[in-house]
Amino acid sequence: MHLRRPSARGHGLRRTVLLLACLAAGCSPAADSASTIALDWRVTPSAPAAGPATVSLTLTDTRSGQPLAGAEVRIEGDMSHPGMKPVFGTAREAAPGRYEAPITFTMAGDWVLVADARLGDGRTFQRQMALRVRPPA
Amino acid sequence: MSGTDLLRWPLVGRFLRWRHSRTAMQIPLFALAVVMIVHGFLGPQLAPKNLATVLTWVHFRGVLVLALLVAGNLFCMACPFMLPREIARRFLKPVRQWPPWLRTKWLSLGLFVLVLFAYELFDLWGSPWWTASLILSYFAGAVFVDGLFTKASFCKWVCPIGQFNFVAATLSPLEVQVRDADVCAQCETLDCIAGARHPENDAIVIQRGCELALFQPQKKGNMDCTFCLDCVHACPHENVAIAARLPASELWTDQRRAGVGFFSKRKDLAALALVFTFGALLNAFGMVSPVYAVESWLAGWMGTTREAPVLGVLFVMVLILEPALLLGLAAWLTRRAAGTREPLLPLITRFAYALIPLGFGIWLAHYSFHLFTGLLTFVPVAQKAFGLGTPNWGLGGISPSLVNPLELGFLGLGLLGSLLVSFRIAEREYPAQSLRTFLPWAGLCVLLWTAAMWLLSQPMEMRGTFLGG
Repeated sequence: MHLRRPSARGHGLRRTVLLLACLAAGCSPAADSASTIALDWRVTPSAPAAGPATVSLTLTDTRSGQPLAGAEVRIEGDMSHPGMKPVFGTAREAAPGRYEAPITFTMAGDWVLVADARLGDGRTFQRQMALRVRPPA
Repeated sequence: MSGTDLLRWPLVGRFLRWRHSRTAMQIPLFALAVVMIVHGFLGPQLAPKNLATVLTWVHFRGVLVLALLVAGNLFCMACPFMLPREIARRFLKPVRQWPPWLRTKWLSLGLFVLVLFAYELFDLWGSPWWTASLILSYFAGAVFVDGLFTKASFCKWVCPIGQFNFVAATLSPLEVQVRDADVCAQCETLDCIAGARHPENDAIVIQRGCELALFQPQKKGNMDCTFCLDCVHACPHENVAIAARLPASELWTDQRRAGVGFFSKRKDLAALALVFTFGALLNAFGMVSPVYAVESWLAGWMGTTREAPVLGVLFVMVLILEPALLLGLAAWLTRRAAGTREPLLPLITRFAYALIPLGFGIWLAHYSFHLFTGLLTFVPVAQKAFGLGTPNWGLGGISPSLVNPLELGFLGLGLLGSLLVSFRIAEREYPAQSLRTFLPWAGLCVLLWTAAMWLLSQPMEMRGTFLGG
C-alpha cells in the first residue's frame, strides 16, 4: 500500500504534464515560409456586408518577384467574438499566382480571415487579416 | 419553511449533505479553469479557437444566469477560486478583520464596473490572453484577500462575480433557510454562525459557521449567500434547508436581515442594483450596430481617437447620469403622488430594487443568446486543443431565429417581475396611494424594457474593434 502511493502520484503528475504539453503543442504555430512570400488580398465588395463575398489573393515570391502559381489556398473566416461557427472557402486559381475564394459572412461584425496556403514546392504559410462586415442592406 | 427542501431529495440531497460536496464540485471547475488559463496564455490567440474565451464568454456566463434562474447561486457554491484559497488557509492563518469602513458594497461595485469597462476597453471577449489574465486575477485576488483577512472577505466585499450572483439570486427559486424557527429559538450553541469546535481544544475548528455573517434564524433571502452550505453542515439539529420560495419576494420585504441589514437603508446595495440593471443595457448595447455610431459621434465631439476616454464618458452617461435622471424623475413623481416632502435619495433607495428583475431579464436574454447560438462551439476547440481527432468546425448551436423568442420571453418576464416588485414596494411604502405611487416606477420599467426591446431589434454585430483600433 505504502509503496503504491508515490507511484500513483507520479503517474498523476505525468498525466498532468502530458496534458499541459499536449495543450501547448496543439497550439504551436505551424512552420511557414512567410518571409519569402508576399500576399496581397482584397475582399469584394470592398466594404462587405453579411452575405456572400469573394476573397482575392495574389501570391508573389519576394526573392524573384514572380507570381506563385499552383498553390492550394484555403480561406477560413472567424468572428472576433467566440461562439460562432467559422466559414470556409477553397480558392481556385484565376490567373497565375492569383486566387479567388467564395465565402459567406454569416453575421455583421468583426471578422478575422485566415489564409492557409501550400505552395507547389511544398512550402506552407498562414496569414491573417481583420475586416469589418456591415449589416445586410 | 414550507414545501420543497432540496436536502431531502434522494441522491441530490444526500450529496449536498455530504461534508465534502462543495470541494467535489470545485475540483472539476478548478481543473477546467487551469485548462482555460493554460490555453488562454499558450493557445491560439484567436478567440473562437481558444478554450479561455469560448468557455468564459459563451458557456460560463450563459450557464451561470440560467442556473440562477432555475435554481440559485450555484456558481458561488462550486466556485473554483475558493479551492486554492482553502488550501492556502491551511498555511496562512489570517488574523486581520476586514476594515469596518470597507464593509459596504462600494468597493465591489467599483470592481464590477471596472470589469465591465475592461471588457469593452480590452475587448476581453476577443482576447484569450486577457481572458486568462482575468481568471488568474480572480484566483490571485481570492487568495490574497482571504490570506490577509478573516472570514469570507473576498466573497462578501470584493468579488464582482459574487455581487452579480448575489443580486441575481434574489430572483432564484431556492434559498438556504431554517426549517423550523422554534428549533433555532432553543439552540444555545449557534453553530450555524459560530461554527463547531473541537470539544477538547477550542482552537480547532471542526466545521465553519457562516463566514458571511448570515445568522440563519435572522437570514432573509439570498443576498450575500454563497450557498457554501457551511451552515447546513454546522447545524447539529439538521435544521437548515435549501427550500423553494417565491422568486423576487425578498425584494419587496424590508425586514432586518442578518449580515445585510435593511435593504431600504443600504445605498450601496441600491446602487449595485442600479448598476446591475443599467450595466445590462450597456453591455448589450456593445453588441449592436448603433454602438459604432454613438462611439464615433462621442469621439468626434471629444476630439479624440483614444478609446478609454470615450468609453469613460459612455459609462458615466449610462451608469450614473441616466439612472440619476430617470430615477430622480420617478422619485419626484412618486413624492408628488404621495403628497410628501421626503428627500429623493431615500425614496430612490427603497424603489431601486424593483429594477433587478428587468436587469436580470436583459442579462438572461443577452447571455442565453450567446450560450444557445454557440452551444457546441467548444467541442471542436477542445478537439483541436487536446488533439482529439479532426475538429468538427461545423458544430454550432441553435439558430438565432429560434433563440430570439426566448430572449423576448426573458425580457417580458423581467418586465413583469419589475412591475410586480414596484407595485408591492409602493403598497408597502404608501398603502393609501399605492397605485398612484406605483405608476412612475411602472413607467420607468416600461421605458427600460422598451430600450431593451429596441436593442434586441437592432442588427447584431459581434464586434471586436473600436474606432478602427
